[in-house]
Amino acid sequence: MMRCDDARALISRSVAGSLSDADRSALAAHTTSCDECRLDRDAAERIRAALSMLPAGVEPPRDLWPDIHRRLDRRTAAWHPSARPALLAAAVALLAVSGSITVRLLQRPHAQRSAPAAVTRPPASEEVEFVAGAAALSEALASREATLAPRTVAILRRNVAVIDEAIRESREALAQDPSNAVLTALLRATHRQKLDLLQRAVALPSRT
Amino acid sequence: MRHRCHLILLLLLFAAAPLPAQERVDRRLAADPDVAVRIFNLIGFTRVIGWDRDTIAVTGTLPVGAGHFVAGGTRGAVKLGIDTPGDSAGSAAATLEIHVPHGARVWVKGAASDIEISGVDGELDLYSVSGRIRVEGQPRQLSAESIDGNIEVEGRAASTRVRTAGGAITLRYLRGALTASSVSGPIRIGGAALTRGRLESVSGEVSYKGDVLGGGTLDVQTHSGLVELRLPPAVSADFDLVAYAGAITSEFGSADSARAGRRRFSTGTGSALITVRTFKGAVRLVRQ
Repeated sequence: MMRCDDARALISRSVAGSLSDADRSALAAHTTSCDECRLDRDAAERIRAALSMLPAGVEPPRDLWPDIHRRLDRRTAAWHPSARPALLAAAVALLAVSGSITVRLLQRPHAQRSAPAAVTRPPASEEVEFVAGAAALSEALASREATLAPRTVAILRRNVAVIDEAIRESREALAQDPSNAVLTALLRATHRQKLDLLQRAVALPSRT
Repeated sequence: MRHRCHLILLLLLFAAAPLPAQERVDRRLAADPDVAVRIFNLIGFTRVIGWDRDTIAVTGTLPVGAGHFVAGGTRGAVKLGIDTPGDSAGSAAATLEIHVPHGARVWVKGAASDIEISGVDGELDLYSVSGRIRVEGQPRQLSAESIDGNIEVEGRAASTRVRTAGGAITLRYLRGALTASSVSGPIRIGGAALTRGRLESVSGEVSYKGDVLGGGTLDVQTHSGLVELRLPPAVSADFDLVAYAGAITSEFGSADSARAGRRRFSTGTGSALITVRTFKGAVRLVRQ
């Protein structure tokens, strides 16, 4: 019987489209009896659908991840109107990169895709997907900022800052202890919290 | 002189014109016992009360600027609420009190509006931005979300899912399955007896007082929030506690000591599974 932790790991990987048929079947079986994981899976499918609307065939000219990591730490830590063009550029670049990674993951041999999920550090591609999703949602939120109540904007910023600080600390710890499964799970959960908050923020009614 | 007379006449006309009055709502709609009711009221107060009649009754007041009351649908599905231009909230607070059949399935969307539900046994799906959400009763299934509003639940939903960013979550006497999630708001649970619990916060404190039933699971995760579990002395569970950079203290298992890292032990026959994961939050296990 699959545990929720394992299901959540598969759901995270499903955003990158990297589930084997066996993983998909196991996840489907679990989500028929677990409402929470089913809702998480549905949210992941919405993110995946949004990502699929963007160009996917752009191959990065080199390993961009370290540079992306640095830029995102600066740019997505707090969305700000003046940062919108830069953020949009970062989001588009990241989505192109993530699309490319998705394609590469889908082209991997089956055995690699069906590797156990919850015991190793999330692959960089998974974090790229999280970060790309957050960047795109941050940009969407920035475009709506003027329509929201200042108090709501302040609350959202404060909570996004809390999450970003947690992500930064978890990443630093993982850099020192890369095989720590608990740190991996905590980082993954914090990324999911950020995506969840941003998704909800983007859908807020005007003047609230 | 003639212009001055016209001006005075105009002023008198304006003064005599009636002020726009607030709109009063008093509507009744026939409904099935398990009617699906969708309610919109972005600013103000919405109270939903379950009653033993196959009727939906709505009363309320709408000040000028709050928008207009609308309602429609069939016996099986009704949509009602405050209609405002576009997707925006009105500028004044509307108050609605809505009686629905006990078994109704109720969906309420608010923003800067408080939502109170009592005596509804069907599914509840409640959403607010900064308003408070309060639920009493035994809904079959409950989902409540806010950005910054507090969420308070007192009852026995078979399945409960609540989440907020900065609001406080306070849950009492829950049974069944629970998922509670916050970013910075505290999660406080009292008198619970869960079969499956999943509590997540980034920086908010998590406190749980209650039991975890045999074969059940309780999974708590924070980044920096304190985790305190107050459990019955005879709790029967496998414990797996990890505080990467926080202290773990436990009145269960081996001798109490405060230390970071991982502690695993069992009590009783170990029929439940209790896991706690924190990055730098402290973990405390306390006997009730």
